Amino acid sequence: MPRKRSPSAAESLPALREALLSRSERGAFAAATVSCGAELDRAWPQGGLRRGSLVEWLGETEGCGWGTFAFAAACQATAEGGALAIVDREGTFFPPAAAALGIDLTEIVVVRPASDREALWAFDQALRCPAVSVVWGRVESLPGRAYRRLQLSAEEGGTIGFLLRSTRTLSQPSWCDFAVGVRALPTGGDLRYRLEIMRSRDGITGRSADFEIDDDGRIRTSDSHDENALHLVSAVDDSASPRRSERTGDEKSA
Amino acid sequence: MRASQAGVKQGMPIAEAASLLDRPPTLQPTDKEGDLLALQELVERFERFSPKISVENDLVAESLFLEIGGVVRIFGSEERLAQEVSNVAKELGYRAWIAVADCVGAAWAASRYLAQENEPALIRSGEREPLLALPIEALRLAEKTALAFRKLGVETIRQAAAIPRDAIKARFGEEILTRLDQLLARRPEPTQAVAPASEFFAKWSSEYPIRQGQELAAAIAALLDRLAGELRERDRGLVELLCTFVEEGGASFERGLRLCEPVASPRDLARLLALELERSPVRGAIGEIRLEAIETAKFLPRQRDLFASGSHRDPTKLGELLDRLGSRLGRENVVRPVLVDDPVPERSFLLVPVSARKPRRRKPPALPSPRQRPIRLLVEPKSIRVIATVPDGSPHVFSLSSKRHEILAAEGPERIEAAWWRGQTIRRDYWRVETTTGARFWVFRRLQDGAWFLHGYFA
Repeated sequence: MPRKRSPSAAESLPALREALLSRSERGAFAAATVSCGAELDRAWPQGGLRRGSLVEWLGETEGCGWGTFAFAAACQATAEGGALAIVDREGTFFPPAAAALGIDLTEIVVVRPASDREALWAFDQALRCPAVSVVWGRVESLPGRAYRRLQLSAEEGGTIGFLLRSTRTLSQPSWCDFAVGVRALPTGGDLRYRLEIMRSRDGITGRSADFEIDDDGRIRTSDSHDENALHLVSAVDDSASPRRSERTGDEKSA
Repeated sequence: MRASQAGVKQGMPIAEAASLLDRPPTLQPTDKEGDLLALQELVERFERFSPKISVENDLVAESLFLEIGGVVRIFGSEERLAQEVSNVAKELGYRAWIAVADCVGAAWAASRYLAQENEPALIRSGEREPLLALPIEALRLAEKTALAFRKLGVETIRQAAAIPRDAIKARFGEEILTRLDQLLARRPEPTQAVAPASEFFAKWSSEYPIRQGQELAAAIAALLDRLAGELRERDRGLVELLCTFVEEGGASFERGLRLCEPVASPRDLARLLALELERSPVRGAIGEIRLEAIETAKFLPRQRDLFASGSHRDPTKLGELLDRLGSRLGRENVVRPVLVDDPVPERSFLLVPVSARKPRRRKPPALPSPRQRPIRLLVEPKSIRVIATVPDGSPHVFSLSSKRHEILAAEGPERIEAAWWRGQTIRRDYWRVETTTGARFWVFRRLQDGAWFLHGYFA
């Protein structure tokens, strides 16, 4: 597939953004979005997850709920078909919890890479595969070039990548559609989370909403949340766009 | 070996066996499928002794049956043949009990009750006396049936054979009669020969050895082309491939490729094999390469869907991905989880390599609620310091690598215990704790000594 991807340094940011939008829309799956359930879809900048895109899930600390929440969202997104690929670099993925969140374990493939390099390679391969719907995994170190490759692979396969990352990585260049911060709210038992859009391709960030995971693993809007009070829209966040000098590595035809 | 030295015998209750050992035994369920596979692998090693080898797949999978009708004279005598088979088994590291007889049933019985390790038993054609003296179990009966016979005082085959056939049939069913006839060669017993492993085979050799690199790749590609051509002619695809590389000096080593779905395209195969070789490269100068299809399967080229959405569920695409991942990362690292009914968290699931046969769908154990089990489980629980309100009560504060976590709410205890005969004794009280920042952890107190551990993150 011929693809032009060497933005010149002279291009301005808006032009670049537009080019990015228009080019990806030509992809076979670009128009298609995948639903994570009506209630969660409303929180996303594009009203759903775009096939062929990457989403960053950002968390502050272990136990803050990013992985759990992203997994619950991935379960919903795979309900339309396709496999859920899990890149388990740390070897800590706990299948009973995954089953509790409502996934059919026969639709899961767990990949256990031995190094960060292998993990990135596996992530990339899985994204390229049209039979996969979502790839879920922790990716901390992600150089811009490798990131771009992941994004192209997702586009090629029409898949969605869920990258679990630390909030600290927010300052790094990114090729995700949007990044969402997840924070578990102290409730004394219920699984309740606050989601905040921290980076978005269309530049709108700061929106937040609260969600709960119920006993069947479904994501529901949390009643406790006063939507108006927290519906904030911040200024355009420039860190959302990739560095201009960023050039993509040639895709390996392997 | 050590267990048998301590007096552990087959069929012994686990508790009794454990009492004979000085430390708790590691237990593993019987794996008949695994036994079958291991036997099938052995077939190849005995191919020179018999044109037709079959694998026992009955009550147990413990025996190989070698038909030696026409080959005895090649080896001189039945004794010599049996001895050679025994030697090969010994060389392979197996303890073997071997018997020669004129039918499958008699050979089975004699190998178990008359042969000694590495001392084959021989039953001459027509010889019945030694067989009749054998215990009733030598008939290959289900344990229940054998027990029923013994209760009636029937202990040997001679006694069973003396009972009128009608009476046996009425009391125990047709099976016993069949077994009797099979033992005494009165009824033929069909066996299913294992297909010779090397039905599809390709070999390249040269007087001028080649070294790793493009030459090697080209030689492999040519071989794969040939192999794939043969496979395609018969509408078959490759499931398992064995590559043997023979070095200049004569040393040889093997590389295997196991696929999730039959593959017939030489290009795909070459790519997968290249990944495999990248993972464990071939060194030295290679003088000969042999490719052998260990397993093949019916292969029908799939019709491609015209619509983009069709390719979204294309199972061959997933198979290709899994093959690629498995080749580079190792098959054991591309897995599907299967839940097991075991209360101990680290034993409550298995990770089955995807290229293995798809696991049977078992009745899933009762699922917990998402708030009960963390998505990340630490392989090794981490020791933590806990302050509890009362000695056996809920944790109040815990510190992990010098970071202090104030606990807002703790749910528990959920007691998880495993009895000693499952290996290590496990007695734990699990708590789901939520810190003041909202983070959730899964911690437990070891009941034996009161030590606290972090076992998982509701990450």
